[in-house]
Amino acid sequence: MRTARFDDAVAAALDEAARRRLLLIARCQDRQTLTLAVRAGQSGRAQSRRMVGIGVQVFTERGWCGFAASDDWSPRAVRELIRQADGMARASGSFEPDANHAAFALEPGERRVLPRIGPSATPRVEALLAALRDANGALADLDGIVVRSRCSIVDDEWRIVRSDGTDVSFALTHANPRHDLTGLSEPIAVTASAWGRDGSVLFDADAVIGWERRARRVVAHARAALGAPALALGSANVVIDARLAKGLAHEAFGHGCETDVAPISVLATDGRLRIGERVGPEHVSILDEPLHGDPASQPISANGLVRQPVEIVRAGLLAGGLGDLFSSGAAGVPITGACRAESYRERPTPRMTNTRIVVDRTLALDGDAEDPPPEVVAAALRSAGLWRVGESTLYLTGYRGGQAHPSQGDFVFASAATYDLSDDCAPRRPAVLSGRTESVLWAIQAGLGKLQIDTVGLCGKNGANVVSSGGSHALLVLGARADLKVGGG
Amino acid sequence: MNLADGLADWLSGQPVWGGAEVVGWRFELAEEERLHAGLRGGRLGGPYHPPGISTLVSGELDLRWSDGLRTLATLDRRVASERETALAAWRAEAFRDQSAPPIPGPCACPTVDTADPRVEQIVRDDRRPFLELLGRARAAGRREGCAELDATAVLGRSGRTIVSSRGLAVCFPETTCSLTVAVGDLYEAEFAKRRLPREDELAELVDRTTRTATALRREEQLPPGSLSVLLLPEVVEAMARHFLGGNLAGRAVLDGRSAFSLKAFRDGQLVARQDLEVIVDTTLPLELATTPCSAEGVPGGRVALIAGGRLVTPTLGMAQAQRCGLPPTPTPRGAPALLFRVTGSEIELDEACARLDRGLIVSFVMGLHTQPARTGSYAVAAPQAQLVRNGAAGGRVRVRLAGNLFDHLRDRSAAFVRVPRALNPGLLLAETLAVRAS
Repeated sequence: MRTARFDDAVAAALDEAARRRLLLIARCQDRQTLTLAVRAGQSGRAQSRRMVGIGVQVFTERGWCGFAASDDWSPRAVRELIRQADGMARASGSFEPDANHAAFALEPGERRVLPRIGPSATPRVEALLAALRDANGALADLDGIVVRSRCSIVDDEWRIVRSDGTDVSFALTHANPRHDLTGLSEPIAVTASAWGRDGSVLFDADAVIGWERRARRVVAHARAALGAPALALGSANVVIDARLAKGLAHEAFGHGCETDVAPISVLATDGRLRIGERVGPEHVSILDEPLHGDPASQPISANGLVRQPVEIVRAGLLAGGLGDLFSSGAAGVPITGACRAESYRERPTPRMTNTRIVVDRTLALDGDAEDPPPEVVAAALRSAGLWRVGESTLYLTGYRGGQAHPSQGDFVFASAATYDLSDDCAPRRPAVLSGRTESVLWAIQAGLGKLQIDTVGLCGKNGANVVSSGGSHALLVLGARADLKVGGG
Repeated sequence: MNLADGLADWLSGQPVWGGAEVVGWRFELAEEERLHAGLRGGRLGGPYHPPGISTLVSGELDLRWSDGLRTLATLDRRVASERETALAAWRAEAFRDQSAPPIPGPCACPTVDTADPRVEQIVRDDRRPFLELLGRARAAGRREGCAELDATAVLGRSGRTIVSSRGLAVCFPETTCSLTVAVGDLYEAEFAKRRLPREDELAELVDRTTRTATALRREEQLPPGSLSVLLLPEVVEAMARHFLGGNLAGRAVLDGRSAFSLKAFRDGQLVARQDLEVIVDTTLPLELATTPCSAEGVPGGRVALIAGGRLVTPTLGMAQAQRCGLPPTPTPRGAPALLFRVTGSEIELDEACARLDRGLIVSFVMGLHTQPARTGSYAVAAPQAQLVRNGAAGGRVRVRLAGNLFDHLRDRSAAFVRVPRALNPGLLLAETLAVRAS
């Protein structure tokens, strides 16, 4: 792996930290990104980006912390980084610092190199651009739609080293091809994404066809919404697809269980997560777990600990937190290796990986489970006995992003398309769903279809982006609640 | 020899790889040093917000090869030590670009203030005042009765160089200073410029944060009936970035993704009140937007994108300017990305509050980034809106707001509100916004 290039830097960092009686956590990163872009009828462009460097986080015997990072990883420069981090940590001693001794209690570790997954050779740029042009050209028959196609291919190698002997290297790779589809004379702006482990996703026939189908479906949904009325804000029964369910799991609930947030989270009291408290019905569970081959997977935390699966909610009870080395103790939950960082320059915090809602009360769903038409959804509700005569039932599909405030319990996320199933499946303008963390899981009545947990997005907590993923069953059925509002758009 | 000079010298020698020669080039290179630290719950540092320093070489490179291919890449410190490796990678990533703009030559850049010597000194030599800045913010919070203030401070300095094979050569120092002060998620305020805050600015920032957060701790019920809404400058700027920034971008206009066509600009289509100008200005003293020129060598300056309520020009990089036959526009390097200027009357903040017989003050909205930019329409949550009765600010209400920024900018009944220390105005909307309890 390319992280072997840091051998001298690591040795210098460990030596200098030991000389200064510091506990060290060093993070070395070599990230290569190739971004391709093609606009209809044009040849396309490519841009490469490389980020290589080392970040050192040191702790004095009194638990004061300092940090330094640089893209210069020569042994001399790394010794200077340790000196600077030491100086910052000790300078903070005059300013009522927040002391943390958690890293001193870790068991000694060893050197490990996790095997890379997937092919190590990326196709040449011209071949990738040609594949992207083909994918773009396949949508040329979408009348009045400008198609811009992009693909970022990321090869991210990390090496985490600690004073206790831990020295672990691993690679994170993913590719994100996406079509941005914009109406020339219609106010349509939609995105269709596909994800893969690497650039080969552009050559995988099934992936390419699936990506094209998805693009056509999102355009059809967007066209259906043209001229449709906006929903008045209110409460209604709501059916959401797996992409929105990922938003629900991530934005509405998951952030509140990250242990760095526990001091202010609505799911905690006096800084401790209220483990064992009922937060939803018995048939609802939420799980966060790094999955083999998933774009959001991270086998090792940014502090060098193995990332573990966490049952955040088990059978409706708050069961666990996304615990990292520094804050899990105060939050009253075990360390689960939940720490992630966008780059070596960032101070890591607990973050989610693949987060999904699993419902025991699951019913069958016929046909193509991705983006089922509203008529299919309505029929499935009827056949499952979930149709509420005389009540408003909405179907929200596609995800345009969301936001949460763990301390206040507010969350909001937006659908790409909305249908009023109780009005003969009539389209409505895309809607926004908002509610409260403490109560939202109580709305979940049932799941329809198999688990679909491959929805991928970017989580921007504290301004640092990491890939997140997840989902739920093909459809989740939410009952109307006064504090779960849908509408607008 | 510094990194930029060394790279320029090497590229001037027209290095060869894979049978092709570098025949033209442009690059921007910045060598940056940055201090950062945070307070959480009134405590300095800790593992998530430790005081720290980072150094970085960054930049972008545009290469032209003798066989007509082009390479676009980012630059890092390797340009000094691994040139052959970098050249091989750049050649492997070369592609044919039918719309590449020409390599820029010398430009006449304005003289602008981009660096505060005091910030440079603190970052380079004397770091104690950096931690003292957070200490002063904490002390001010305690004086206001808030023991658990959150704050994040970042100070940076860099030297930026923009050079091309056709004689473009611009070097300038830069500094940045941002201080964000918050009480949990209740209220957050930010100072962000190229200079340190003055004592009065720091005191006002902390005072406003603690005072507003204290008021927002009290939840109130949204009264029935219609309400006026005052969108504070931070919300107006966020909406302007999202809705106007996207639709005024030259690439979006040329691709047909903007709400405005190129013809609409040529025709001077009326899109806003006739007393409104929307401006890009990269010459303001010590603002983050300020720069003598862009990475492409476009000189800094002040240009109206909308004047007299009419479209004037989209924001244009070199490639888009070439495609539509208009001059390129200055590119801000940070906030303010857009400036609203009202030639008619603006009202003062006190008067705006007094006019809010029944209304809301909104300093933060959630979910703006999820709204499609092209229509200007939005439906967002404002979980910390402040209720105002008879001109007096009260407690917090959780509301959803729905409206359309383009309509607001055409609305003659809307009032632009001058807010002390803010570069952009707030916007007082008289019962034209849909407000619902959430």
